[in-house]
Amino acid sequence: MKKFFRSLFLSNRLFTLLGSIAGLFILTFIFQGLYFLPKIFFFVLLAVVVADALLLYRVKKGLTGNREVADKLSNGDENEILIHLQNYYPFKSYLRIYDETPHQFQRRDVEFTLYLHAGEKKSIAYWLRPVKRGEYFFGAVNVLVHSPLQLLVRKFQFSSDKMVPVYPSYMQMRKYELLAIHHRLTESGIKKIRRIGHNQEFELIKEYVSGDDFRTVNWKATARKSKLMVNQYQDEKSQQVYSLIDKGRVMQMPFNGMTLLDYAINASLVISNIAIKKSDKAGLVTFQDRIGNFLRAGRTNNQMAVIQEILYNQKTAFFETDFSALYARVRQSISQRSLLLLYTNFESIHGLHRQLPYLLALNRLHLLVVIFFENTELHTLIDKKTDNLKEIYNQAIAEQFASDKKRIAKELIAHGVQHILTSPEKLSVNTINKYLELKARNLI
Amino acid sequence: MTKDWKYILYLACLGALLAFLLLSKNKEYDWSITLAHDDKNPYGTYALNKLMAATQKVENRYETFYELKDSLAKPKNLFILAQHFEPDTVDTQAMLNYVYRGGTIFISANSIRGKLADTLDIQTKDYFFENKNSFQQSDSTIVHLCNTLLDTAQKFYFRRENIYSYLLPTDSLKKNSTAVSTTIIAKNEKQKAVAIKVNFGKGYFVVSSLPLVFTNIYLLKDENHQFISALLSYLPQRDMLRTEYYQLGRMETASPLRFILLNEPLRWAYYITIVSILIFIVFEAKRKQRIIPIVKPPANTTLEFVNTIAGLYYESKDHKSIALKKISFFQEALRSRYYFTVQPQSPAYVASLALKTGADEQSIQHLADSIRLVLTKEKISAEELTLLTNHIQKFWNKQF
Repeated sequence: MKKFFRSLFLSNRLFTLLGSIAGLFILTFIFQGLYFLPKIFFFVLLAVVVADALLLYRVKKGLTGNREVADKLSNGDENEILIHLQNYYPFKSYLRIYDETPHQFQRRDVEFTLYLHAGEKKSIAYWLRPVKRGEYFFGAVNVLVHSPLQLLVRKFQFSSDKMVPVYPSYMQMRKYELLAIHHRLTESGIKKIRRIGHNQEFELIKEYVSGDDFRTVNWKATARKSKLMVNQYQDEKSQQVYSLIDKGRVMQMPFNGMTLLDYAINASLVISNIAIKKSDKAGLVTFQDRIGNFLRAGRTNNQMAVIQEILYNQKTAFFETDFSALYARVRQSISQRSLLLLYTNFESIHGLHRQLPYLLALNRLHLLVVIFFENTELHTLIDKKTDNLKEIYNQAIAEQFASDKKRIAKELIAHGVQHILTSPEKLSVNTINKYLELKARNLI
Repeated sequence: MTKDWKYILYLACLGALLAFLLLSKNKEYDWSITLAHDDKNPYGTYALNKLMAATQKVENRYETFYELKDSLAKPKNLFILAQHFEPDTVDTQAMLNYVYRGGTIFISANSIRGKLADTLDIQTKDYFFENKNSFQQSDSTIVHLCNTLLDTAQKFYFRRENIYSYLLPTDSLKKNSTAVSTTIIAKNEKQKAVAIKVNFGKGYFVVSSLPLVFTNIYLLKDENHQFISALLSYLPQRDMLRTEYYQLGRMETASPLRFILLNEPLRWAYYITIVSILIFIVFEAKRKQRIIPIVKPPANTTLEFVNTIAGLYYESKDHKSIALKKISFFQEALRSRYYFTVQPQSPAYVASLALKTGADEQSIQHLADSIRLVLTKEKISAEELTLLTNHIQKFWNKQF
């Protein structure tokens, strides 16, 4: 009985009909006649309600369904959620579906309506974009089923209480990995830099295409194939690529709902994967007021899984960053010259000057790339047309902040430090470009 | 439900405490004068009703006599207790007709007015405030019977603040009237009549000015019941019909819903609506999906920060420094976009910028003018800053 009451809801149509009958009673009073008519309607309605209850509850398993979610969700990406439904009722039923998404999404409007014919199967797809790593708890899928009478509603619940972890963006990782394998990185805005240096490790003989270095023409092969053939040499392999992730205060700022730290974590996952695919070694250092994790660079089969787990488990209090601790650890633990991708952020030129000695010291032994972020929020202010004096002031200050970033970049160039100044959304692409560029120029 | 048991327990405890307090409190009597047949409080007439019902059939109603008269199959004694008795003309007429044809009516009221009082020539008076020193009177009053067949010497004691009305000696007492003949039944200690019998046609009225002697508190005191039985013994042996309309009114709901509830279709409509609303509340209160707690997303405070810094400049109204910033950003944008490095002070500025960007010389001239103005002046006005900004905006608008 309790179960029956819990699953029973009433439709608006029922209340409308009850209201109309009450109205009819009043009308019969006004016109003094046909008193029996609304009474008949009322009892017919009661009978139909009982019939509807029988329709809905006679079939015990009237509807089945389940929610299909990946074992883990990808942070910062649109993740597809599927709801499969099958109607076992012998009639066409009208469904109203409420999915209980994890509270982190703050979505109270995941609601769908659809019709299912007798025995029909249907699926609903919708997308969720998490912006925070961690455990997400899905509640139940609530389906309110109406019979064709649409007076009573029976609620079904399934796939309740499922925990899904949100991992750093493995979707981006796969995407760029595939592109890297297919040599199609150029298509998604990733440019290839003509290589200047030379490596002597021979890889293969291939047909000449324009742009190849004609000094490498292999004349014997050309004679055999009667086509121009060139020798291709291997890229330098087994170079170390370390992602240094600042977890300090400056990385707390959110863009599009996601903090800079999570953008950095997503990008390091992508770049580590590409490095390993390119036969380099990927490593990881996270730090704030002291060193958090240190993962020695490697390219074993397991390395990617380890990196992913470490990145998933990053927690931070957003303390002030201590670059001296970073320098000490890198000096102590990384002996081979490596590519250091330092994800951090500088809001002012003074902020850079405070850390510059450590950056220069790091750059002396390794190839350091300082990655920091454009503040895209400022553009809304800068691009605004205005006559208001106060807003002109705001605009000028916003322009100053934006130009400060460019000054920081110039300062780094002046000291011979590589840098990436990017909007948070384009971080992964720009980082890959830089990596490919530096590799091509044999700077590591 | 499992989470709520604590609150349910608290509520239950509170309820138990309240019940305990209410029960443990000493019983308080309700001293309002109801004269109701089912009221056990001092001024109710529960005892009277019980005693009367022991010897004859008593029917209690809440209607006027006019409404009741048609339901009388055989003559009954009509019994009326009220503080103020003033029936309307139709009612009076019905009573007079009834008595005229042999009925009997017992009326006890502090004051009797209207057409009935006129016809029967009855006048009620109140001696309590007639005397100047009314508060120096003794607190008890005495009434005694006048019929010599009864014990006229027996005194019945009542409290004076309740028992003070009397009936004025009427004309019919003074001179013999044909229509009405009156006998005094009881008097108070001032020798004023307090109960009389008024013959009218074949029947008669028994009128008393002391309704409160019939209440529980006086009826049950000492020998007072003898006084009451003496008064009632003037009525013939018939069934009793008592109407409390004149004291309590109609004992039915006086709310505006009475009309709705009296009409069947409206009653249906009313109950359907009420029940629907209750059902609606119960069913709509059920959750369709679980509660999602509100979590504030991390906020990007860049714009607020910019606003604060700009506010500091704005406070000092240093338009010139802002204008210089705008000029330097403009120059920087030209440098990075067009590799244009000519300084605004240079005479070749306008011509070469027009060549480089393809903008018309006229607007560039305006722009250059306002730039040079800012550079030469010590202080600039807000209008000049706005003008400079507008020129720069217009320039870029044309470029894109």
